[in-house]
Amino acid sequence: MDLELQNMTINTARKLLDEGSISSKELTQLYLDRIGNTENIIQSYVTIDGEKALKQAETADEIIKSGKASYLTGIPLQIKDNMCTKDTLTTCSSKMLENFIPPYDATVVKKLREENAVFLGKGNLDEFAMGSSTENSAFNTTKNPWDITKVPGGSSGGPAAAVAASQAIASLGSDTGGSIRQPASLCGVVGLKPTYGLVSRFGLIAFASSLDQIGPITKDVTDCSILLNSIVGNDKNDSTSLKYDSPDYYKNLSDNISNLKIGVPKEYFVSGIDDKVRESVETAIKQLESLGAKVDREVSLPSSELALAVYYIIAPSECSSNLSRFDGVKYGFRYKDGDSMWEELEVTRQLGFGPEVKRRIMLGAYSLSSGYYDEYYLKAQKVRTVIINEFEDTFKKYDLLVTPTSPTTAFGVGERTDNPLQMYLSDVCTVPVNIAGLPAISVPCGFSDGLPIGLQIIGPKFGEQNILNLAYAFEQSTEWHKYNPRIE
Amino acid sequence: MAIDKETVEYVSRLAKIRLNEKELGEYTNQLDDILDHIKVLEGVDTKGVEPQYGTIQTVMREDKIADSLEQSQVLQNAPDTEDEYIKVKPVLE
Repeated sequence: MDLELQNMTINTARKLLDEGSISSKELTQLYLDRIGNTENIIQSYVTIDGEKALKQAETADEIIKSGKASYLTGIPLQIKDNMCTKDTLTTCSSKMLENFIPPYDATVVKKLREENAVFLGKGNLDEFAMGSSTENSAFNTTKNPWDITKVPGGSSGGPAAAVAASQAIASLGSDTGGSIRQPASLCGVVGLKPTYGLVSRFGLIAFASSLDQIGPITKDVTDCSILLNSIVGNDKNDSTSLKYDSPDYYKNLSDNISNLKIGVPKEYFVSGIDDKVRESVETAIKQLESLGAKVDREVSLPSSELALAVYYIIAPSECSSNLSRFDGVKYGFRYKDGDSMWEELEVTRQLGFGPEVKRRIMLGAYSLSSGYYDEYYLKAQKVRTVIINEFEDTFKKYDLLVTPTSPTTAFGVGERTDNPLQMYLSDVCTVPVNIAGLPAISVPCGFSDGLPIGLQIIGPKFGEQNILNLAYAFEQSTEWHKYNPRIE
Repeated sequence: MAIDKETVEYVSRLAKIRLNEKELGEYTNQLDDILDHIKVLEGVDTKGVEPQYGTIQTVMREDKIADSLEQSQVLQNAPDTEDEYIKVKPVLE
């Protein structure tokens, strides 16, 4: 049965469920068995909740029988463990929230629940979504299903590995600087970071509020469009969510891309990029041309090279502010052997946070502190304006931009943990997109030594449909999404 | 050095994170590396450029009363409670 799960998508499962050839309960059990057989190797889950999942599947089966199923009814999904799930542990892969049971659902979770989707459990991540390898999880290191000596990327390493290893049909990730796209690239699956504000962030445990965005991680582009349809929309609980009338991304999916003008920004192909990654992305670009897209290879986005520096001021600054709520008072871990509240507060944060989280909080507190504010924080926000304007100008001439998602394929477990700066560099192609609040997808476009390579497609604000269409046209004309890792 | 040990110690007090001697040394070196990379921004001409703190406009809403969580739900995750209060050690001596 494992073999069949490997090719299972939301789209195919929907057909099987609706025609009655399988029940949601049977399908959910297959996934729980698959998790049971592979989780000791992959470790993509923080929490697995089989009992609740099977109950949800039973309810879904009744709805399917009554003919009232929507796209996700009875579909077994995973959710990244930084999104609140009512009455189910939500840890952010941190000791700080080891026992945190949210009294409410994140809006995205609520939306999926209303469709009677099935929740298999919660996906592992770098603690508080800070990292590019999932090695910063306080609980375990998720392995790349293509080679278990390699990392799955991060911070949504659990979701990307789970989808690649067929431990869930699809998963929801979050992306602050590349945390959906980079692990999707490294695990050979599809990951979309929507336009900032398209999806509500209510109930997503905040890391950097001007950058965070929730999005789908799926086996193929069709599934990505289906899952995106289900999570978009304005939410009164998130004042940054936008009032925008989204198209039906699934129904409008088209492989006709002959009207699309594509730019290839040269700055995304320079320093530190693997030869094989460059080659695969260039081959992919030729493929897009042969499908009718008009490609210009001479596009320049010079300020993109500044994006990483801007990111490592803005993201830590917002993180130092957001994470001040973890004081051991209202929820989460508390060190209880101090003499005063102040001592307990400082030691709670010393013991409750891991090294990367503390590093970023301190970097942020430094950038925001008096005497350094103008030099770092204010300067970064000004350069952000330059980056935003440059993208806006570029999108006057092109519908979409294509780049590599990550400059390298998956790196070894432990290889970059001693060098934070080197770890940060793996987000060099994805970070500019967050700085400008744009949408972007990663789709599989090749392999190097058995490890997947991802193609990033960036669009202007609300450019999701064109992004999905280009990704779909590419996917349907290639075989890359059909390969599956062998886990043993 | 972009940052020294004393500054890191000062920042850790601002951030309310206690650090031991080993952590202090490591963070000083690592933050120095990162700040060194961030230095590229110094050379960017941003004269007359307005900062942009996000990519959307701030929105206002009416100040209307709405449902909130039950008190028991709000308190369910607190590490220490007494009656309907969250309990902490003395703040002031």
